[in-house]
Amino acid sequence: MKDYLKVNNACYGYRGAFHLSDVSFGISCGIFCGIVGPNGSGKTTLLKGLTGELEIGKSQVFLNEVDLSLVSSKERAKTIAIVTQFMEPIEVTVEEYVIMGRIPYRQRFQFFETDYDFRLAEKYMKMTGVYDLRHKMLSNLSGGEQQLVNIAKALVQEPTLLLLDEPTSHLDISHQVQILNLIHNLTNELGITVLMIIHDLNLASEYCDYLVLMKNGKVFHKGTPEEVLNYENIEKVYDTVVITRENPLSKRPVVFLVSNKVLTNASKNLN
Amino acid sequence: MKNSRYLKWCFFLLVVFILLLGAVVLSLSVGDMKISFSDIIRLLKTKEGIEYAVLVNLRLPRTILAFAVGGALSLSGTLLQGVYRNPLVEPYTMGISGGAAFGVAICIVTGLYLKAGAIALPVVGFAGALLTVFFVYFLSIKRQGGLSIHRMLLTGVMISFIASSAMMFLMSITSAEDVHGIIFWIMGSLSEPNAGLIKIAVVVAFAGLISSYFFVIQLNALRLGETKAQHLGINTSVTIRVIFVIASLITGISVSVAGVIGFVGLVVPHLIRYIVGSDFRISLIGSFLVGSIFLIFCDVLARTLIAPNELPIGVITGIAGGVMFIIALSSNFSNAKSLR
Repeated sequence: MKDYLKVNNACYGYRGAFHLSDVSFGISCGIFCGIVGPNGSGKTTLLKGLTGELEIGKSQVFLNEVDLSLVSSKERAKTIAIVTQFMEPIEVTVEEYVIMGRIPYRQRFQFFETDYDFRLAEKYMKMTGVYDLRHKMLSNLSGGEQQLVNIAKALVQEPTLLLLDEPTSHLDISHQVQILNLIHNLTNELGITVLMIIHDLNLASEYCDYLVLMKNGKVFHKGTPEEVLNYENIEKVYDTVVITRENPLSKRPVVFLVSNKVLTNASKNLN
Repeated sequence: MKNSRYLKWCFFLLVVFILLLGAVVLSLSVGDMKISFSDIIRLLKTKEGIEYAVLVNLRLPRTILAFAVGGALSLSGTLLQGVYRNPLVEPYTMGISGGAAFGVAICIVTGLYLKAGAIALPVVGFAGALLTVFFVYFLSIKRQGGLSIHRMLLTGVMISFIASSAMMFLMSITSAEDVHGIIFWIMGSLSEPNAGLIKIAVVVAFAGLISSYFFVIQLNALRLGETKAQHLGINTSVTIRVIFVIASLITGISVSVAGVIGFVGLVVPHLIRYIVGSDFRISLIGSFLVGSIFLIFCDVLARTLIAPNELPIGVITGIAGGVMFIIALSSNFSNAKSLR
């Protein structure tokens, strides 16, 4: 199967500062891919190249075999959408906010949204479960609801590649599961390819089809969760002692942290 | 849903147009010589008598100038508050008034205006305004290219301070007569005798309104913040530059023709967001028209409160605007939060 997103020796980064070095991986269409790794390992830098915030060189990233560095920012916004960790709660209603996702599709002198725009907004607000909130002000929503609205806005862009930058990091477990289930359904039903930065290794393991583990701007390991999330890899990348087991239901790896207290006790008992 | 929103916009515009018409009629009829509405129509037909001369030569130009300056200042405030995403920004935060006033002060102190005539003050004021705008602009260019919004704001505020200090310095070393001239100019007045300048002010105000509508979608996207607007395919650095230039030009013209008329550009954009929300498709035209109405009313007050003398228009806008603002804030604080 052809790779839908192909990152090929990517070396982009900030001017005179942090750079990715030779990041390469490929994922095929409809794959839910997680990017994991410690802070400062280049996860967000990788996404910023895909959204166009950072300039990428020629032939470093291909989307559907098209060199992304040659795609205009407007065309890019029609194929790639991003959901960030926080949104600034501006004073608009949920519906107004969601329909702003149609901005890349506006013609030059088109001042008003089309019926199609409104139908799409309705469809994705229903899919993300925020349709009943559509007349509410964004700033009156909870963090979890705001994140769902954010996803609805990204979907209204009709992307084929959806990027998420720690979408669940400040949410409770019910919202975490709700959002990740939703994203999983998007890959399954709409065939959207998803690239998600996530810190929680257990959630990454449970939901993602494919993982890219990064360290110091390089890809440390990539593959299925079973291949990537073993204690050797994790200890090397995070400098932290962990134990991995298998989730009895999903058979995916689960990571347990080991505290210092337990570690010293265990080594005493061994002696 | 969408239709109800567009209907609300139409209704709002209708109300605003009626108010504008009322303000214009009031402004034309009130004064030393009362001219009723039916008289206005009759006079415009017959074109005779001293009443006609007062109407056409004094009140009409003044009303037109109030319309243009009020519209331009509040449009500029709406644009700048949108780009900076900061509700405390107004046209004069950019140092424009400071630069203009400093230019005028130099012109008066050096006696240049005595040689060049009355036209010298607006010309020098505009030059001063443009000069500060260039300073602010070039000092805010980032090394990587693109403009730093924060630096622009701070540079503008700092240049304002420097210009006003320099002006104080000029005033402290000059004669009382000149000081009076400077202060009179700074306080602002809509009695502009030069018809050409009024025409320029009107044309520039309308040009600013029309050209800002070319960027209305970009402005709407910028409500999300610069990065998120980029994610929607918007070229934010071009948008910010163009909006900055438009706002500076229309403010510069207004300041140089009518002096420093504060508060219109701060209060009216807030009022508009409070009434119709933050969507720029309605708030650009809305703030323009409401700003015009506001300034025409303020001018009527300035002319009539201590008649036959005249109050500086800046005094009226400051007091009326401030009181209106406080009332709006205390009546519904949460809704007046504006952009954030």
